[in-house]
Amino acid sequence: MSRPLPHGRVVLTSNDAAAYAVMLARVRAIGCYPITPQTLIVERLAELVAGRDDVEYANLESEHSMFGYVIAAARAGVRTFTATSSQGLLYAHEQLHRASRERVPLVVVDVNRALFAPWSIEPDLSDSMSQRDTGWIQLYCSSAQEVLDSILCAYRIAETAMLPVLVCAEGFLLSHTSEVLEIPDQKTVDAFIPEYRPPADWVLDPNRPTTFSAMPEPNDYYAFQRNVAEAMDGAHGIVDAVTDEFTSHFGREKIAALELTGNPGADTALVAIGTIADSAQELVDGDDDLLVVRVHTYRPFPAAELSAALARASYVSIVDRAAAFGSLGPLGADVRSLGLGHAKAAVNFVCGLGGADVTPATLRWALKQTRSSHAGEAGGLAPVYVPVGT
Amino acid sequence: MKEMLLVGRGGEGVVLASQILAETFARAGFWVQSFPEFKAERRGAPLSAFLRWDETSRIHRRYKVQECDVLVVVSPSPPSPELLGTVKPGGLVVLNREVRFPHTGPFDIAHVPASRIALENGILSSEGRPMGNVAVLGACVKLLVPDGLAFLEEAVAARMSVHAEANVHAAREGFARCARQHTVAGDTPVELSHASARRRTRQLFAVSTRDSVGNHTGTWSLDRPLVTDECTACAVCALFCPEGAIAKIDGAIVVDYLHCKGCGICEVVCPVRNALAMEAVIA
Repeated sequence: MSRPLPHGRVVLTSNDAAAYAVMLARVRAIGCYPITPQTLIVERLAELVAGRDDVEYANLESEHSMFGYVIAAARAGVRTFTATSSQGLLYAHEQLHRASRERVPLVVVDVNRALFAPWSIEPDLSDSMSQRDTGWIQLYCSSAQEVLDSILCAYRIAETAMLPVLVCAEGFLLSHTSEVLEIPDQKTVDAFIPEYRPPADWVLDPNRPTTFSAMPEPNDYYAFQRNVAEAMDGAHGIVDAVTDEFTSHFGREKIAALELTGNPGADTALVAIGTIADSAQELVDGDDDLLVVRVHTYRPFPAAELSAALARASYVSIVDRAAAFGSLGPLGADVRSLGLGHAKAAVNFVCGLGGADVTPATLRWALKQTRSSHAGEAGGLAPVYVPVGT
Repeated sequence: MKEMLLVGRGGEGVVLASQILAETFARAGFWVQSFPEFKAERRGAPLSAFLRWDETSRIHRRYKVQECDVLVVVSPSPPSPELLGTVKPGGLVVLNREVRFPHTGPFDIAHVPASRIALENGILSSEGRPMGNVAVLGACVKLLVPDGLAFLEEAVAARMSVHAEANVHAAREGFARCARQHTVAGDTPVELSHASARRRTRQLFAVSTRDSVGNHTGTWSLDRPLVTDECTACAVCALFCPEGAIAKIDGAIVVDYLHCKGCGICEVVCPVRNALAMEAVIA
């Protein structure tokens, strides 16, 4: 009854690419609750699994239940998938903390959408970035190809690290954008993603009744949290190793923690995430003195790689498409935490909230502001909100 | 890289058209990118789709098309000056029209009787409106990739399972029946309004942050009622108007066009001959 998946060079949206990646990863339980702009992923999956008895597709009554469902299914020894956006992710917030602390290797796609209020269905990263402390590995994509590739890698990363992975793709700018990508065939993917085999003593098994996550003594609770922190530290190496293997297996360019384009010795660096960094490629073409650093793996935060990439930059512009009211933007705060003592200026910009266009002109404005900062003004403790229309 | 803006209404297949055209360009060997801009999805509301294509490299731009090389009006309505103001000098405007557009501008104009072709091929929306989207694509391919008709046919067949055959035929007809206009005596220059595209996107969907009266939903309408001198002000239309957009004021029927969605119920219920007629609204 299963329909053949397309493969080879195709024109698809990131939402479609996500659905096909999930099928290629041989997922066995899909939890679903619709929310724009993610809905097309679970709609496509519904078509793809129709009539199959080896995949359970569950419509849940909320995102909170949906995350509970995939956590339980994964703990029962089944590979899972779900996707959400914006308020949906926020509604599941407490389940996110639970998933990482119970070391559940979920793979979830968040199609980034701005947060209420006021209502918006347009993209920004405030939804997933506000979940950065929940203990999930976070990967941010900048093309449909990368959405597909990142999901395939995410299953390997999650199941090796025993940590959940959130694959993030901006709504509309990626989710609804049709573009050219390569879909690998099932055999190639099967050789990359082995069967899901979580540790036997972690799996829920009615024949081996065990209590999990009950109320421990404070010192034991503390040990559980350290265990998650150590797993996150270990995830740096796992992301690197898995993407390395992906690169050689599928013959694609390696994208692990960062993607660097432009002049690595440039005096000016632009640090961005997601599609903003893709639009920035246009600046690289006309500017020999620019390095664009695109953060692909945001959690665990690639501090060592970023420090190395920014070691020679005197002027650093850090561009956030998310708001963190009362402090620097999420990426800005993280990058500034590196110290960057050698830099003359490291300025954090916030732009593109709620789908406001971020064009090369916007980024040129940010670079100009940074370059005109004087030594000693390393950048304030508040971000610069780029004026709309810049 | 070339950039295209496609405009129309929710339900006219504008987004699907942009995806089919993207696939056509990809089959013809181009790198492509297409994406829609719709707010809360509503049938009948104005929407845009964007298409970028390049012969040599992957498209990196990740923001809405602001100025276009090609403007495609999928709706069977003439384009507004604001819309024409988004076309780059030397660009191309493709219109869904049976007759030539009696204006000139700093761009080429072509027209294709796409709605007529859809009618002939029985391609209708659930409300019975002709769906000219694929015939318009035939014209686009003729004008932009003249040897690409086979790729368009493949893309239409791949994307439209149920109505593939009629639409492949419509694509061919659009290709054959599109005409590039030559200026003739009597053509008037369009008064271009170079309102920036950013303003266009803000005005696209009339939403008030203040109150619901400020939601000018009338901007969605394809048609609007015109009251004639034959009207007896019986106010049956006001009674039936689902939007409360018709009122009898000082003995006369007044239509609130800012809130009339152009459903045409007034015309159907009007008991007086020739008292009220629907007329097309410009895009």
